[in-house]
Amino acid sequence: MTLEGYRGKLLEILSNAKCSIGDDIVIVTESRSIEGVLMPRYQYADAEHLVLKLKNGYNIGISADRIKKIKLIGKGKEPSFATPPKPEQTPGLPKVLILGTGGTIASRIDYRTGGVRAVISSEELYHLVPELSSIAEITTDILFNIYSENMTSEHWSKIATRVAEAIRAGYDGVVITHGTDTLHYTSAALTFALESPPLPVVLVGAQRSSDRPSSDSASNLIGAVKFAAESRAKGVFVVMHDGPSDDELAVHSGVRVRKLHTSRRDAFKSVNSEPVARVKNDKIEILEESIREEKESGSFRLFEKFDDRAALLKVYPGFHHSIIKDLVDNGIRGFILEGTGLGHAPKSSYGAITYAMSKGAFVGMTSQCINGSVRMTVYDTGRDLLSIGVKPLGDMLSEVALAKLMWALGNFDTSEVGDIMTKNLRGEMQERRLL
Amino acid sequence: MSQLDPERIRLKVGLEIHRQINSSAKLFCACPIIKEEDGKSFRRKFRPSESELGEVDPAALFEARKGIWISYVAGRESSCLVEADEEPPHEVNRYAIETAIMVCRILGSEVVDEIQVMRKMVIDGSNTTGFQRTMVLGIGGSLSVKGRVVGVQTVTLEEDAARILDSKDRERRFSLDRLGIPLIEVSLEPVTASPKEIEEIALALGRLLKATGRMEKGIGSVRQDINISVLDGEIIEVKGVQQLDLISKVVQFEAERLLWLNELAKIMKERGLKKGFMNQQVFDVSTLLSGTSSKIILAGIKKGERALAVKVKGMKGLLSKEPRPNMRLGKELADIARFYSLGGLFHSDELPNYGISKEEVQKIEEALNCDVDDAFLLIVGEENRAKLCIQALCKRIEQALLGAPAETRAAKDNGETRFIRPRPGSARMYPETDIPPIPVTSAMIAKVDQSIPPLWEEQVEQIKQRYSLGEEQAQKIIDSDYLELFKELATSLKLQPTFIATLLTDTIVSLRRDGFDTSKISEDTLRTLLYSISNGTTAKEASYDILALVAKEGITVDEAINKLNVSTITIEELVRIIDSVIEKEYKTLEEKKELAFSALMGSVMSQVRGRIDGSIVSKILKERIQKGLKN
Ligand SMILES: [Zn+2]
Repeated sequence: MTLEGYRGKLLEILSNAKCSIGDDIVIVTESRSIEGVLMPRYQYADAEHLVLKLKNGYNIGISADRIKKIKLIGKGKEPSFATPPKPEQTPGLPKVLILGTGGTIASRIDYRTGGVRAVISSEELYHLVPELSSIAEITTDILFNIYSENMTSEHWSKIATRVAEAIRAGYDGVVITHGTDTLHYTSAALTFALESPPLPVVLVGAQRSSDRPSSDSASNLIGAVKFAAESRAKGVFVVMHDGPSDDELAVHSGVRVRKLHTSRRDAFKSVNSEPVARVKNDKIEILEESIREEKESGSFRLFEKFDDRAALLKVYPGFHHSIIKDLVDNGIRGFILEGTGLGHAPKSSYGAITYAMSKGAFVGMTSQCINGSVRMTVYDTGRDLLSIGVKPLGDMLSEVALAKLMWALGNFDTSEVGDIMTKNLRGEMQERRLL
Repeated sequence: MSQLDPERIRLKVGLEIHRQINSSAKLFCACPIIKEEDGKSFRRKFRPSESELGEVDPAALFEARKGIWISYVAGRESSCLVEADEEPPHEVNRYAIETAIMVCRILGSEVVDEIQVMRKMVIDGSNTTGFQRTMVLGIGGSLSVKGRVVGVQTVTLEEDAARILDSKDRERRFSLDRLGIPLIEVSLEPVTASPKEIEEIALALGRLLKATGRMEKGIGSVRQDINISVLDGEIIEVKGVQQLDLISKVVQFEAERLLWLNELAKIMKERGLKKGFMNQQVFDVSTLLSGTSSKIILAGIKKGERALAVKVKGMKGLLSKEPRPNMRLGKELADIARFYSLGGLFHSDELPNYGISKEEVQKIEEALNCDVDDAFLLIVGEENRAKLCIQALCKRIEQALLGAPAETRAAKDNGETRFIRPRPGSARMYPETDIPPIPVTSAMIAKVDQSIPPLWEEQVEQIKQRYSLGEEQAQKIIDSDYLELFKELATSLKLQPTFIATLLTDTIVSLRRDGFDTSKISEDTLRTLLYSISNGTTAKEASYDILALVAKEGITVDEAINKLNVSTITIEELVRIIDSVIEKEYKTLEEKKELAFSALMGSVMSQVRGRIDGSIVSKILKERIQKGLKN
């Protein structure tokens, strides 16, 4: 970190004055001298202002045009974060692996520069979230660190493979920290990649970044580790806030959950179903007993391949048939149509859909209503689409259907994909929806 | 109260004045500013963020150790997802920014070229985010008060905190209605001046801010923080002084307290106490006290709590030493214990007492191996919390060797102060990354310059001339909350402006002094009353009583007039009342002739006071007496 974020004229002035971020400097303008610490400039902010931290802790921006002189009066110390000692641990606790994929579960702030550093080691994690040391014996492994919108099916494969290793290594549970934007796609992908896992695989994220005292990251993480260590559930789950309060978390099935709000802590909701469990005031409440059913030992299998030549298309008034055709011509092997209502698409698209199927592509139908199931036998349009060969996907969520399709295309023969997609494999489609 | 010599004791006082901006919306969202106490509730727990070197900020750690839950009430009208920390902040309120720039321009502060919104860590639960959003708009500048030039450090814009509803059983409850209200803060350079002069500086700055016409009025819209040090010692921050006339009292009390703590440090050194003298083992003395008649201790032990004791070496007599009432080390310690929600703290200087016997004191002294000049602390509470608290208490006693520790304190209504928390270190701010920096252009500044209203002094002059008021009365009406109402009524009613001004200032002040809740007297009440006087429905003389009744019973002006029987009476009714009095007092009249007037006047007035002008009563009474004597 030398002159992060500065460019143009200011970069030149600062380099000439031999300043680095964090140095004590004096800025001389036509009207006064101001002493402070040189701060980094945000990457996307303009090139015209220098950011100075005043002695009282406030930052201000000073226009480059007004700077007469910059005096370096002291080099700044590099922030050093001491590693805290490992806390005493109760022996015999369940072993939980925490896999990092992105987002910061815990972080430390360097108040001198405002920099935020993600916490990586289990020691630091114990230190910042001391509750964890009495719940489980934790191992941490940072697989990668990306924003979840940059996640691809290759990342899903890597995560699944690492979880399979953890299963073989005898862990009692796995927790995966993940950015929230596409967390529900990953939870679905893992549910398909891991057949009959003998332990809970828990995805967790935070809607408020961990650099703020009000972050939901610690409470979510404690809940996730607790569920991974103590629930005896088997499968892939998502643990996040159930409401705005920190003392009630919901545990969702990995294939029944969707992000339904841009910013709230309780953005994740089970759709067409209820949460399978809750963690309330640090106690696990199982709502769906079947998640604890014993699996036959040795029945675990890993299907880690995905083929991302699949597309999720939303149907809308004026939906242009060329969208499907062009994609087919570009090698896309399967489509999830997010249809209107009970699972409809305009007549004008029938030709393109027929064309896709003639090229061997799979076409499945979900609903953009999010809630409810498709039912393509009610109206003419639905019956027409069925007769062309579009497969109804019941109450499967569109995002789940997409992940399942990539997985089906990756692991099975094209001829099997239709059957696999319309069969309930992991609870992703259900017959009963309650009032 | 002894006279302090500010120069000799090197008294330094820095004022920070916060005023609520009269904006229609909050600083970071579109919510209106409405008082509300009902709504959805939710619970949160805060964790301090880590700073460098793996150390949390001392203030943050202090709060975190308490480990309390916070409940919030989110009213539908007054808050949205932003206040609940469920949505990022919106753009900064433009009106608030303009107002802050205006204040900078008036004070001669240099407006920053780019505003950077900061997060200031506050994890007592008063902010749902765990920090307060705040930004510097201007640096430097000055204020001239009676020939003294007081430097300005910064002009900042910040969001107000949530309003505390109650605090019990280690769970605090806040309403979100106040959270996010825009406040302007002006921090002044420390000055060496007498408590009275400090108060004058606060008054002058308050007037300057108010003259912008952009400040909210009413109780709670002004808060003063006072930073005080003496003899170059640590700085004490006294938070949230609302009444202006409390400032000199607080400065006086705090200066005396700091001097006394210096004195105490000297005595401690003379007694040979050195750094580390409070590294003492903590003993569990619960079994020694199993037969005690102290109710607090018995109840605690019954609940499974423990009684812990620690030796305070060489401090016998010093814990209760008291140079003036409510100024003693024992009280500071009790405030810390209260912070940990522990009520049962005792020290040996006050024992035996409170049901703890002489024998029990001796047993504890033996257990702690106390010498004749040693004191001890005894605390009862849940074991872990009591241990943490005892640690904090020992630390505080050790700090006494160095004089007064840096603390944040709260002012009481009598000007005394009490400990709230250790003063936070300076390293508790980092950038608010949710809001990009805001450039301040010269066009923005030029626009503000055009809308700066006349200064306070000029406004006084204008009011004096326009309404023929005296200097003092003009100042009072401008300093009051009713300037706009005064202008409206003085122009539309036939009443004398001086009468209206007196009612809106002196009468309200007397009511407040006499203990009436004047916040119950709305502008509409005052308007109705003055209209009633103007159209002759009631008399001027009844104003005080009417307002007093409105404040006391929450009724309308008309109801008060009826209840007090102060609706005006006609001349005929007056004559009838006077005649009946004359008839009754006929003998007195016969004996004393004209000299009986004052006795008769008193008797008549007791029946008609407030219902008709006294001068009319006097005139008619004289006529009727003349007539009566003739007959
Ligand atoms: Zn709002």
